Amino acid sequence: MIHVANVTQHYGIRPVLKNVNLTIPAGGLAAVIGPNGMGKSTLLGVIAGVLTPQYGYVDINGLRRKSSIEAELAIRRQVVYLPDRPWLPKNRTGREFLLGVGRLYDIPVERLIDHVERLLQLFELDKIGDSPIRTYSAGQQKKISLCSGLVTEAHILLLDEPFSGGLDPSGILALKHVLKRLAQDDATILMTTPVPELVDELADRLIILRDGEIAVQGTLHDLQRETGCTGPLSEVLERLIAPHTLENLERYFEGRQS
Amino acid sequence: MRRWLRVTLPTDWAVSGYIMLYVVLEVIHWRLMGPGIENSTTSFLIEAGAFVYGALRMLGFHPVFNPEYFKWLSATPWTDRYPLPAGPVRLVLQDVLVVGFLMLVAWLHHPSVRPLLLPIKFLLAYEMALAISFIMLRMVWFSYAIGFAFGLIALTWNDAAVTLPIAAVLYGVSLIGINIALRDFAKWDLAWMEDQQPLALNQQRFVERMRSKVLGWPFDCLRPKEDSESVTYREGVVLSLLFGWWVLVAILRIDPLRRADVWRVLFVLVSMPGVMARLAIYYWGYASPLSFWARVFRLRWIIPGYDYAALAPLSAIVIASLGGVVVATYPDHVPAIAPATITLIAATLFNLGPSVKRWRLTGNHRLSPAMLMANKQSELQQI
Repeated sequence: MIHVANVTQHYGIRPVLKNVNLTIPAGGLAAVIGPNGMGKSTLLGVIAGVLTPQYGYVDINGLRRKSSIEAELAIRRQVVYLPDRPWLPKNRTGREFLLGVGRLYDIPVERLIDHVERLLQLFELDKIGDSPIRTYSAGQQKKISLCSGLVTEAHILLLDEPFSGGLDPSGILALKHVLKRLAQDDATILMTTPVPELVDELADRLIILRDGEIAVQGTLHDLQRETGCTGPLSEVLERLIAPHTLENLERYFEGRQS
Repeated sequence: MRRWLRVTLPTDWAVSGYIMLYVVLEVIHWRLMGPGIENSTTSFLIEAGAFVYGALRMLGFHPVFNPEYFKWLSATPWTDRYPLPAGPVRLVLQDVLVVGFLMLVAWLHHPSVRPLLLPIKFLLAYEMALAISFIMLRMVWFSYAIGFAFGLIALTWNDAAVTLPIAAVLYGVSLIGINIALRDFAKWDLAWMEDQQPLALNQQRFVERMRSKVLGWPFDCLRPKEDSESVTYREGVVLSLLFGWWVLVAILRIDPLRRADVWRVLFVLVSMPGVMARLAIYYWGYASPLSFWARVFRLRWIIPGYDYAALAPLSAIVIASLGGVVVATYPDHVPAIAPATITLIAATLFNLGPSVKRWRLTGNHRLSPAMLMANKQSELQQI
């Protein structure tokens, strides 16, 4: 379980997150949705331990982030964080990289080798698995980065915009199914995305961030009830986070005609 | 006899090259200057010979310095009950003979070379290499003992009658260390050295090993294993005393009138790099959670969970400043003030918390991937 309590986070003078309270129960997939610059990646960074909140705290499975050496290491063993723009070791092959990450998380060698092989096949990287990462295309690098998160077998996955970065349709399909299956198998997945279409069918919990605050959270049904809109998630979000977008569009085209 | 002597000597070509060089230089000098005038070049050659032979006696024979030899020896049933196959690490009669021969040449032909200092120079080089071997075998307390003894030898350098017994006692202590090291040969673990660039015997392998450990961002920074090592409290105290001791030796060895000036140089050379190193270890890649202006305008001038790591370097600077003031006030007491100041600065930098591990795992910082990955740029690329 992830528990974010009264978290306020800012680097400059303007707060990026304002008194955020959030509880994500164990098992399932939660998606943080919101326009750019609303604090989605910052929220994930705080939960991942990359950032320290100015106020508030983060508990993961009952352990408080950064409270002690033992607690922090225990959390790190259970959690894997994938930023939207990771740095990859370009001179190592994809397979070597994945094996190295797996060893870091103490995955037994035989299981690790097998898991790496299956991941490479799933994301159609098996043909280039033994080539240096520097030869990979942007989409292939995104895929190997996603594989590195999955190979850890961590129970909690924090994924910052996993569907962005040039992922091809087969990669999106594979990732969607893997995340769905992992969530069913009791893994806790928290991901961010600026576009709702991809998580519509995946997420069983939606967290809408607006101006650094949680505008609303819950299931799609909860959000529909909140907004009085019975349409799909995209329509609900139009009302929640982009009420001005349609007006802006009208104004844009009116301006062009005049 | 020749075979017996060759056990500890360097290769034949090195020995004959050394002798040839000595003879040729002597002949040239004799032809140019005539007989009876000492050749300073060959005098230096005699002194250098003793020093180099001392270093080679350890570097060439100790398995810790020869990875292939160590690997081979590990595969054999060798124990310390048997002599080392490549030759003895302990000093033997052959060493007495070699150094004795150099002393004899010095006594007969080089009046400027003090024969009694030759065995000390030999032993200095031997012990220096031995101290490194103890570090490699993680028997650091023997290295510290050698470090303290070196200071004593430097202090009594002008009186060989005092220096020689000190050197003998030093060798006695070292011998205990050598015996323990060889007794525990089966437990030697040299793998950790491969991760330490200054100690890695094979730099190519070191680079490959390091490269293989690079996993990029975020795995290198949020790893579930934190293996950063800190100096233990006891080691910190002993190292601080060692620094202070060497400063005392350096101050006592120089002209009393120049001591205050030398102290200023020593202060800059010892304390400032220490402070900078400590700041870099703790703050490189671990940025403040708040920007400077946010601190100012939000009145959060001090962030305890972040700023406490600066306490040690700041304290060191305060101690250094106080030391400077006291030296300026009491310039005659430099031999007491300077070592005390350096000891306190070093103790502060080594022992005042937090430990690197605690800081990295529990500090209220903001990880800066660009900085943390900066030294791995050639190996990484951002997608």
